[in-house]
Amino acid sequence: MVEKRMLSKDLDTNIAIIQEIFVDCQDLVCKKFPIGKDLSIQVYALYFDVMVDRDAIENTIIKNFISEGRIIYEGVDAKSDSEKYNYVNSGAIATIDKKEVESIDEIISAVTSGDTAILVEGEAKCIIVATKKFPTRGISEPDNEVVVRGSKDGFTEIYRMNTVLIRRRIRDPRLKLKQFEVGVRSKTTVGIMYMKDLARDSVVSEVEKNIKSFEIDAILDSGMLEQLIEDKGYSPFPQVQATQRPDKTASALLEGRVALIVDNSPFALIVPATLNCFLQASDDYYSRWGIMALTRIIRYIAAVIAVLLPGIYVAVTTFHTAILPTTLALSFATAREGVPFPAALEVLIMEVAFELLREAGIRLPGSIGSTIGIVGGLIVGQAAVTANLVSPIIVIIVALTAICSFAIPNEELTAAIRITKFFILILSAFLGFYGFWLGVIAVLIHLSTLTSYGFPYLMPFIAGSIDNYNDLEDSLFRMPFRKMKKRPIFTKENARVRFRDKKKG
Amino acid sequence: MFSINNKISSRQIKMISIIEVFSTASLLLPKLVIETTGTLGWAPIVIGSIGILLYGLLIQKVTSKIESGFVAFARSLLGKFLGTIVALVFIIKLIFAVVFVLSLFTKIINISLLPLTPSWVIIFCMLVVSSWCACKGLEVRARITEILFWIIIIPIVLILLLAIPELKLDEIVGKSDAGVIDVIKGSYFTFMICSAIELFLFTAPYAEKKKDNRKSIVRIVITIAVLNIALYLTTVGLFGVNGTLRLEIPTLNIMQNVKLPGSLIERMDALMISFWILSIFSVTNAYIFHLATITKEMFKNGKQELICGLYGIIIFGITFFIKDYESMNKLFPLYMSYFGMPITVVIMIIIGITLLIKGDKVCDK
Repeated sequence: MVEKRMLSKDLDTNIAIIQEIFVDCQDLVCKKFPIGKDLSIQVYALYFDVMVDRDAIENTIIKNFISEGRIIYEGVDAKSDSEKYNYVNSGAIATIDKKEVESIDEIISAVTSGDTAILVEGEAKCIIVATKKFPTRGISEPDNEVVVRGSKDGFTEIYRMNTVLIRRRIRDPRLKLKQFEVGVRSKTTVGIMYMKDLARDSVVSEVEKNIKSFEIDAILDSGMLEQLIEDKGYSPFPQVQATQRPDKTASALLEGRVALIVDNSPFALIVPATLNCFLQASDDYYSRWGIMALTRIIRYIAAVIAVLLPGIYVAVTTFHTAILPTTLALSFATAREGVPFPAALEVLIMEVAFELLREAGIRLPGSIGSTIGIVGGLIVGQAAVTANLVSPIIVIIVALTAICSFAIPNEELTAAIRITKFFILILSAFLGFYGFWLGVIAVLIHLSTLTSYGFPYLMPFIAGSIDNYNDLEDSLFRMPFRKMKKRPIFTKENARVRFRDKKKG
Repeated sequence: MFSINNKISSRQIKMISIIEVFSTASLLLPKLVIETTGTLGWAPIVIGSIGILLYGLLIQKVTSKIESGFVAFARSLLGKFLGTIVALVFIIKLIFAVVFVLSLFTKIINISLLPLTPSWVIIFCMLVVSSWCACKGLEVRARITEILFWIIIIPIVLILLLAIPELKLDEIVGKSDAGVIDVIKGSYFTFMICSAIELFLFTAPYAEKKKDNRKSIVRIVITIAVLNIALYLTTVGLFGVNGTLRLEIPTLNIMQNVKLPGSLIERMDALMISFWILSIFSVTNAYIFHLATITKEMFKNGKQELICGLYGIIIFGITFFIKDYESMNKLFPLYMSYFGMPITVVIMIIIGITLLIKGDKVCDK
């Protein structure tokens, strides 16, 4: 472990070290100035420009030091160094949000986080005053998780604002927040939020352990942390749920799950996360249960179609046309008349073209992005069909697959489904239905091996007996609230009841 | 937490066992009982199932004493040498069984799905996936079976229900010339074909609640018996005794004859074979898993992944050497009738009697 560089009692020595560390950092504001009636106390303040709340610095520190401090505290100049330091620390800074540190490294960490450091001559300590105020955008609607009904606020890049958005939804002291610094250079603040009485201790401690289990230069977004704390990072399937929605995070916390808030990231991470969690959307619970139960089933069907449809089409048209009714088989054959490519290649070309369009649409600015959709989807698609490069049926298959993948409310799961789709498509192209089923089996094996913080990924569809099949109430089907009386398996065993009907006593 | 305790629930055990037994039985049993007893085919299925139930209960009794694994248990009960011999007998039987299942499966795939694909490609692909699954351990197998169970059973039940309007009652209740000997022979065939219930021996010790195993085995056998009788009645009701005898695998023909309402799918057999792929996968990976587990226990060492891979290669080699289903179809029934089945039953009876004599002194830890 690297030894900490401790502060010296000599202010100039400390200044020299700091200036050497921050050489060529021209956004650093630092100044040595005297305070006290006789200007006998030398102090040195430093902070990074624009990262701080200048009003706070001027009102809580500078104003007291320079204008009022020099008049009010008579006689302090004659006191010892230690007493002078105490005077500055307890009497001259008008805030309670401050702390003392004794090493240069802690000063660096605080200053680079937006705090102001104040060193006083004759004392090997430094006062750190919380003055963070980063340039930020306001709270806006989450663009990835739009809901018809429900709150419109989303997380921002400001860590503290995100924790506040959650805390205002759960006004309970049992909502705990533990903070860590992750990243050797970025020193990104990562917060673990959980309900003390609901979250399983084993999950909380494993999250903590995972966060401390690696050393990395920087965590620039929660997406990086996500990949580092997953049980199986090589899997295409996400095992950590990312969300932009504070209400979704609050709901997860109330189910005994653990949320991670990462500074500079508008996405919170939630663990444990099973496959079922990725197919739930916020407004499933805000709209009436009947229609949302139906929507949930449709979403599951959409996920299955998004993975399997291209594979089934290729298997049927290439190997098993006999299973189709004659009229349908003829209709397929007519549609494919004159197309020079085999069905498998045709689907592959169209799927890759669609992926290209999708990528181009994301990277281009909004207005041009939608133009790409029109040009690619409509004009090029139509031209390809007219030129007999692809059959119209393929356009339908690819479009239907794409629509189904958009019905999945989680981007990471959609990405996994896209990869899986290609895997099954290729196997179907070689071995028809046999290859198709082998692909399905392989995916199922993989999903069965996955866990998220000890919870099987396919819960509650497998191992449902662990919680007496209670979690099925909010899986393929969303039951009415009065029926969902228990929290999911993620919660501590003795805290499972979440609803009591007072009408029934 | 829940996923690393190497324990499986009673529900998972039931599903695993039903799939393991029914997958092969559904393809072979209807023709065999019709061949031996004609329209009296239900009788050998019932008697054979009673035999399987008794055998299953004996196995359950034995498994209730197993703490760490069957081989260690057999060695502590019968001595190291005899225990090892018992393990070897099971290894040979499992290898025979998996080779037969794969040969049968390849034949079906060649008939109905991929007539031009070489059989070694079909076997190789299945062995890769099955070995991979087997090396992931019992819990993963149990989870997959929980999902596959419904994908396999629902279409089969659906087919049987859709076939009801097509059944000819006079074929089902027709007179049979079968005598007592034929019924006994048919019952033995039923017993032999459903002998995959033996795999309970290797699965049951990992039950979360061992006390439920007795109930589980009863439910497993009843479910399998009901399915087998339904399949037999459908076969004989659709094709009659003579028609069935002309068919190689009548179960496949049931699927060809059943029409889905709405005419969305013309040939149900191709679709249904798809579901059989899943059940054959379940059986194959079970055999490889148990082979690997027994071997690991025998040598008290070894990596599951490595042993499963090794067995995958061995099985592939044997199937490659045997080449076709016809050779295996001659060899396997002979082996099972005169050696494979009797010896394991005798072993289990000896183990049961020894257990009775030694009582609670047996310890395999």
